[in-house]
Amino acid sequence: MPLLHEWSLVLFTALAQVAVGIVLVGECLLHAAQDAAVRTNIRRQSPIAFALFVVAVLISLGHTGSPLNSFNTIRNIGSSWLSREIGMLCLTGIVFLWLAFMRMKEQEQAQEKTAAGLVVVFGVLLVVTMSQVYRLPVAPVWDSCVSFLAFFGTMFITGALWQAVVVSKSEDGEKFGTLLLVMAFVGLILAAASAPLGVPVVSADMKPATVLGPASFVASKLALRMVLTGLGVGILALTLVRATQNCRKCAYAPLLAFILALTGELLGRSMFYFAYARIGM
Amino acid sequence: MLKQPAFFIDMSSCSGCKTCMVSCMDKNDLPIGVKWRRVTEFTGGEWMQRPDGTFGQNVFAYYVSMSCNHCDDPICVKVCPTTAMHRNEHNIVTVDHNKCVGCRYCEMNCPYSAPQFNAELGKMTKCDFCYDKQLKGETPTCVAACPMRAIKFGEFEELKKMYGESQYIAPLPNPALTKPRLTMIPSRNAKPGGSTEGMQSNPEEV
Repeated sequence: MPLLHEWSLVLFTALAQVAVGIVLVGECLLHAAQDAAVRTNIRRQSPIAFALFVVAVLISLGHTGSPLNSFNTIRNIGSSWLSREIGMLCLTGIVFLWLAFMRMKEQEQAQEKTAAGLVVVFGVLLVVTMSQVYRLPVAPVWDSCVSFLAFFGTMFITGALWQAVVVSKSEDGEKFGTLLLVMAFVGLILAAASAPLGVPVVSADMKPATVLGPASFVASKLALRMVLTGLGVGILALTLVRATQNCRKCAYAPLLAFILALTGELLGRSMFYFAYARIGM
Repeated sequence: MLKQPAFFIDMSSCSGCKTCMVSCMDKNDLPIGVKWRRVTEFTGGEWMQRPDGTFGQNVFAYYVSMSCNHCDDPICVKVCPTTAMHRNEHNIVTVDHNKCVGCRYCEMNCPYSAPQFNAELGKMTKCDFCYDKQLKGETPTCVAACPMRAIKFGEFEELKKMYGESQYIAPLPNPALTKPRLTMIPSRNAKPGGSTEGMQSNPEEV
């Protein structure tokens, strides 16, 4: 198995979900944050998340044979989920750009909340359409809620852990701890629920088992993914406990937690594409 | 030109020689790996103990020659984001290369592996039912090339009257999925759709 099976789709879907997660969790934190320095730090993440979103979109072109024809991809919104996903990608990108511009300014802008609200709504709808793209009646492993659970799991986990890195630098960062931990745990539960659904069941009208590899191989990679992601969330929980005891060694723990969880999610996404098996010839 | 062109496959006659596959590649000048028609071998069987204690076998093998079935409910047309995959004026499902982005989503969805990605073009390609030949009153290449006369083509309604509806046999998908314009005489060894008694052998050949 290559390191990143279907690498462009793995990176595109995961990074776009990270970008949406950063804004979604960030807006929840901003709702509770009073301190000006903390608010500034969280606001600064929007342009970074937008840059990540743009990188994800550019990477997605790596999956196309004729990227110059990309403008045609929103012609079939009436019946194609892929067309709908690309349509939502455009809408999210436009409001994301608007939000990023406003948040590059020091002073909070009057229309920021509207723009952020639109990014969250369009972003969540984007993740829904992304999930539907892979709900194929001809691919039994994917024809379930596996993509929905996995994609929303990635969004919550990485969004919460990214913002944990941001607020951990501030003096009163630990007061957001419970909110971040709840979001990360929600993500972890979604990811864990998706894992067993991703193990392919080989039947006679699918590709031969030799093409897919043994189910044990797939299961071991999925287990490694859950260990990495679980470690990420676990380290966040531990950091929050230690933070109350003024632990100086914990300074880089949120960053480590984010890197571990992102690695786990990328591995899980790679396995998701690897598990594709279609009925028929 | 036929109103609803459709293929008929006589699996009981097919010897698996792959002449249809090769002639299609030759006529359409397809690069290595791009196959608009494929011949799959479905095999199975095992040793069985008889009541007298001796052993026998129930080994079977049969061939399925398959291209695009220009379905009545073509999933590739539904899912294509660009509308490049469409049904043309001759009721043939084909690709508009001026629109195709080469995303391969049709390939992911078609249970007959009909849409094939041509890396040289960066676009999807597929069986066009040799409509250039049909317009001149000629026979599609695969039909003309088959030495066993196992492939025929004709008006779908007429073929259905002669041979019945498309059947659900392994390794074909359930015809309810896309409503293929395909009629057939199954092999006498044919197993029902979804059967676990056999598997597609020699995948590297197709």
